[in-house]
Amino acid sequence: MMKAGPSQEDVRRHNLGTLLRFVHLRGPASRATLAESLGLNRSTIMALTTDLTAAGLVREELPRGPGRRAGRPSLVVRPESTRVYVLAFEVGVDRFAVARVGLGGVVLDRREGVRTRDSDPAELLSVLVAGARSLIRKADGDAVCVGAAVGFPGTVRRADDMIMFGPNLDVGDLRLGDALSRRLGLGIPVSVCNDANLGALAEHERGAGVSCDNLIYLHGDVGVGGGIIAHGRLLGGDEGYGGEIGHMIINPGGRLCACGAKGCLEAEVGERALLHHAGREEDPGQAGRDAVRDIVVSADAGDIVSREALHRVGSWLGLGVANLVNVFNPGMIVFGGTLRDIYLGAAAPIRSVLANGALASSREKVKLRTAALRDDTTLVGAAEFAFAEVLADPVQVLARLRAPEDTPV
Amino acid sequence: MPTDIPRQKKDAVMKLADTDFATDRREHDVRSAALDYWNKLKAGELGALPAILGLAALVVLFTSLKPDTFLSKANVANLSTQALPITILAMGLVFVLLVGEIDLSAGVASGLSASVMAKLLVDGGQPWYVTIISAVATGIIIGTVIGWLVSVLRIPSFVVTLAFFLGLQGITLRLIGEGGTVPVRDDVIVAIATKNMPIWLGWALAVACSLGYTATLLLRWRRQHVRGLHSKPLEFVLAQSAVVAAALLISTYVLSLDRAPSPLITLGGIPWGVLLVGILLIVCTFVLGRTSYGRHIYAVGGNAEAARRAGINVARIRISVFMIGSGLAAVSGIVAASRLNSVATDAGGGNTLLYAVGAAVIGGTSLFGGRGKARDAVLGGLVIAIIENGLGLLGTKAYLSFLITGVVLLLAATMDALARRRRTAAGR
Amino acid sequence: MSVTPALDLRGIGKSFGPVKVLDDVSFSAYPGEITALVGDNGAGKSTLVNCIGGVHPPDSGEYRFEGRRVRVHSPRDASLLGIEIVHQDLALCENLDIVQNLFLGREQRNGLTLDEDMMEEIARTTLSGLAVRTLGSARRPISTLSGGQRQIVAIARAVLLDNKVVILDEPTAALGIAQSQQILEVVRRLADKGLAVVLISHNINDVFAVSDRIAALYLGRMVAQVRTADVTHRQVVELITRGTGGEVGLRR
Repeated sequence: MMKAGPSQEDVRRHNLGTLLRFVHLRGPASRATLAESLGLNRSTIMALTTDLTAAGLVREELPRGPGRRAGRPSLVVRPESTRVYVLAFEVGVDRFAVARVGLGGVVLDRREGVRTRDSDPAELLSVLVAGARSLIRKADGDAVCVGAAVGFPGTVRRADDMIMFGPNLDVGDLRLGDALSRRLGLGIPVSVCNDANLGALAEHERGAGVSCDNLIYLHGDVGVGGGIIAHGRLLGGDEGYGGEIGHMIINPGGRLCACGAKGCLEAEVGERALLHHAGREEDPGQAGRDAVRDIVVSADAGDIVSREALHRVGSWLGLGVANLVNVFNPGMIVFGGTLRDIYLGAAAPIRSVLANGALASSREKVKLRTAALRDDTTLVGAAEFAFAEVLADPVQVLARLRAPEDTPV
Repeated sequence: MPTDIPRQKKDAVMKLADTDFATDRREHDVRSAALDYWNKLKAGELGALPAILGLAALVVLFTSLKPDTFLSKANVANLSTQALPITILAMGLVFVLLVGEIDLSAGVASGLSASVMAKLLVDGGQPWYVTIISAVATGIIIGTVIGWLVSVLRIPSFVVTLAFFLGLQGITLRLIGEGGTVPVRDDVIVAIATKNMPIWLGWALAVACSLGYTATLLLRWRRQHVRGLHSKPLEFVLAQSAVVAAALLISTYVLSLDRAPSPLITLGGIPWGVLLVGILLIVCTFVLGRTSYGRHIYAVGGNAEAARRAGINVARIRISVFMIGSGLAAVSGIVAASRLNSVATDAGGGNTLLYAVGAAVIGGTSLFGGRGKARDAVLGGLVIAIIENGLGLLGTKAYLSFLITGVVLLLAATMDALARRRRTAAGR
Repeated sequence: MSVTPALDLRGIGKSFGPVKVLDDVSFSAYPGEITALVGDNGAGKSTLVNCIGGVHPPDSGEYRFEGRRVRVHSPRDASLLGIEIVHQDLALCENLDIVQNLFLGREQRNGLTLDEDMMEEIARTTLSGLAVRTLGSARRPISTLSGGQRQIVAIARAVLLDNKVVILDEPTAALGIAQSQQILEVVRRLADKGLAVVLISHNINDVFAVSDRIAALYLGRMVAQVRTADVTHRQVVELITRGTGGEVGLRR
């Protein structure tokens, strides 16, 4: 089939994507709101909505909820949350989660479980696949999966999603994305991304940093990860390894890090450091997150050892934050994972070191926030990442996925 | 190259868990709703359950003790009119109890109002409607004065109404004259408690009420369901309306049977007084449950300080509930006078008030304020009337009657107090 | 400062008979920010809040609301301006459910009857706006809620209407750590919605975790009103206990 003109087609594709992205991120909106927010005229909006409705990506209906008192209610464009979904995977050192996330960012269903540290990567793959399959089985008959992504605590090469280094979770030479894709057999590729990068994305698009285009997300698990959003985009560096804030050296000659260096941020504020300072043993049966929370709780109850531990960790974290503030001048720093609990338990030393260590001009406007998505930052980020393709070219992608037999994959 | 991995020791590694991730459980299925109800019971939210169980137990008890008389047609009709004055008095007291106050003078206020009515009828020769309006006005005035003393001067209602309990008896005595009775012979007033409505009208009203109730519940369920709000499962709604409709229709059937002692005349139909209670029940339920005034009554009873901070005029609410309480007491006095065809000096005295308080509490209204419904008065009124009636049939000695009624009242109050303790304990 | 403070008090003085409680106190709260009000017991925090809320009108000084001079002589005046105080004792009716408490005294009506559906929907929107996941149904009676959940209902009550200033008196004082954290994040969200939030707290860590500014009262005087980013833990503790904290806000 001949196309009328590539440029016109491109514009249309771009507009479709923009409209879909709008209702995906901001929720249901009336045509009037869409026209105003996207700067398109009403007839264009109508045509785009019709196309997206035909493709089964959105539907129009009467608004629900309060606020319809007088006048004729206008229809709102609502994403087809239950019919268009992605699979989001989160692999942590001692837990994992799989979720079916609908268009519009609704977590429709989820499975999660614990993972014993040092268990075989092969088992990991099996449980992820089992979880995903049980989610797919529960989906509506006409629902279509438009993407999948994995959040992984390690450095990942952007070019081929190869996991290069996972200091706390070794998967050997397993190509996780390809293996998952093949085992699921949905005809879609499975992307693999650094978990903290995804967290940054999630908090930027749906969490604390929605209105902030320059933010830094710090994620605490066993290690410490980071994601830097600059000018609204994730800073990946040359090969996508960027943002490894956890391996910023803040205490030369300090504690030994899993990466081999000494005095990395991760080594000074990670779970192991906190447990060590609090005089607690690493308990293989207990998830790291719960161990950290226990320390914060006992510090609040007045336990001096825990308070001292939090104070030390908080001071190092403050130093790291001060460096980040000086280098990147972010508008916001978001603490997620276990760092969320640590921040809330040690805000005073963190702020104090920041006040002493960062340049006044840079720290004046910086906001310190906790992850609004709580424990789901990575999962939500993975979902957003998985949605990227369909948001870029909604109608084409959906047409291909709905009729896979017509198109060679 | 990745190899296909055999599934091994899957369960050891992972626990597949369905996590509840919803903000609100909008859809209740029968199981979860039943579970919720059970939890509510455990937490001390007993509702009408004790009254209904008590009612059933008493019916079984008296039927087995007096099988031929207790459930006879004539006695059932008698029972329904016997319960009327207590129920109406209790309905007024529910309002007072809801704000956490008590009105000990409601009984004698009903007596005084009735004697005002009787005096106007006999000595003043006034038509029936003037006398009824005057009687109700008397009640409302008494309530206003009590309410003012309680809410503006902040005298404890216990003391104020105890004083009125004594004082009002004096006024009644002065009006009627010592040891006397004033006969009430006006046809309309006498009809309230002693005449029955035509049988067809009884059936028509019963059917209309059943349908109306079912329709109201179903429409509300549909509205909540469509808008995704908190709603009971449809099965519950249907069961609830079926039970209410069945109760209505069965009692209509029983009351419509010919209960005349002689085959020469026919006597059947629902007493007019029952219709009056029905209307009062619907109006009071509406006011308490569906208007902001009713909501404010609950708020004042629950936490007067919170109500005050929310901008509710607490004093006005307090005065108004005493007005309603004494106003309904006056209505109760009229019905009592109609039933006895006369007003005596001790009208509304003695244990009338305690029976009414007992009725409200047995029905589920809390003595601590903030909890209760208009229907409590009806359920509790029936319980008290059945006890009174059943003991009468058994020919129990007066001392035993007093003892048994006292024990039942204490039992209800204990249940109320224990439930309250559970609620406070469940909160933390 | 380019932004007009939502609340701006200047030179406030207040005495109870011969007892002088507040002396020349200035205090401002900005929209979208959390201003923490700290001070030792008896420093005058409650009196200042009561002045703001119209419970005890100040004897002297200037009361500005959104740049305008206003007179606040009763709690009603304050609430008409859109100033809401969440007291420590919460003042909720235990016998009513969440929706009924949220709308107490300002029920939505549909003619004569209450519009329960509308109220439940608005309540749900408000609660989900605070990202509250743990309340269960909006129809739960208050008597079944935990302390933290009650606190959230009280806060939601304060933001249900179009309020401009919300003052929270020790919202985390009676709570465990997990609940405190949740409340702090809810408080943060209020400010992110554009309200001016005043947070009274004894817990320095809480203050540092969420506040944008810190105002310290010492023996009835305002000894410092600074940006949280500019002070250290130790300085604030010294401000509270000694009334001085070195050259606060003057470094560099």
